[in-house]
Amino acid sequence: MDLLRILTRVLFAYVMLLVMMRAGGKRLVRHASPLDFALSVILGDMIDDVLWAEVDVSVFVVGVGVLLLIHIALDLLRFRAVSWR
Amino acid sequence: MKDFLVVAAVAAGALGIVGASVGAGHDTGTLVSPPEAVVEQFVRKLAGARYDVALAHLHDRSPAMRDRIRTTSDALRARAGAIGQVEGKRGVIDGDRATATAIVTTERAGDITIEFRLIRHAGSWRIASF
Repeated sequence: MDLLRILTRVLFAYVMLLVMMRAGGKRLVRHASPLDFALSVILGDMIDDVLWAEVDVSVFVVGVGVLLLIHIALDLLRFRAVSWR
Repeated sequence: MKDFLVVAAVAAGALGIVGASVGAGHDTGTLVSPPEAVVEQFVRKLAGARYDVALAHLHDRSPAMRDRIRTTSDALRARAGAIGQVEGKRGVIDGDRATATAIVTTERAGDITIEFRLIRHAGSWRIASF
């Protein structure tokens, strides 16, 4: 497999993950919940498939995007539930 | 709420870049799985008897095709034994059509070469025949 193609996929996936994780709210490790940890493991597994071209990059983008959106939505719901108490 | 919108916008932007690369840039193997990776994945899924998942790599996803890949795969395993290593090799890419080869290392019959023809559908390579 061409090295240039691998390099392009690595850069694209890394930059996209970095931007989305930062946009989704930067957290310190000690502030992370078990769900944050589970999300990190899932994302770490997903990036492997895109680096070796086992899935199209669009599939990776949709997968990561949906996971992060669900994660943020759950955080919002939890925050509202706490503030109602 | 702002975080939610920003993540959605970044995902949409990334999809836009991929769409432009595949549609306007005619990318055939950088941001999409190249033909050799598609055939390698397909054969690996057949080796693991994951026929429903393997069907996603085919252009024709009818139940008849599912039955065909199942019988072909079962016949191959009966004849050659367990499938070990699978390696995809690139053939020729000509516009929306391509060829690729999968070299399958089997328990009893050694290396078996399977030729594939692929077509590009919505930017992704799908197996048309093998």
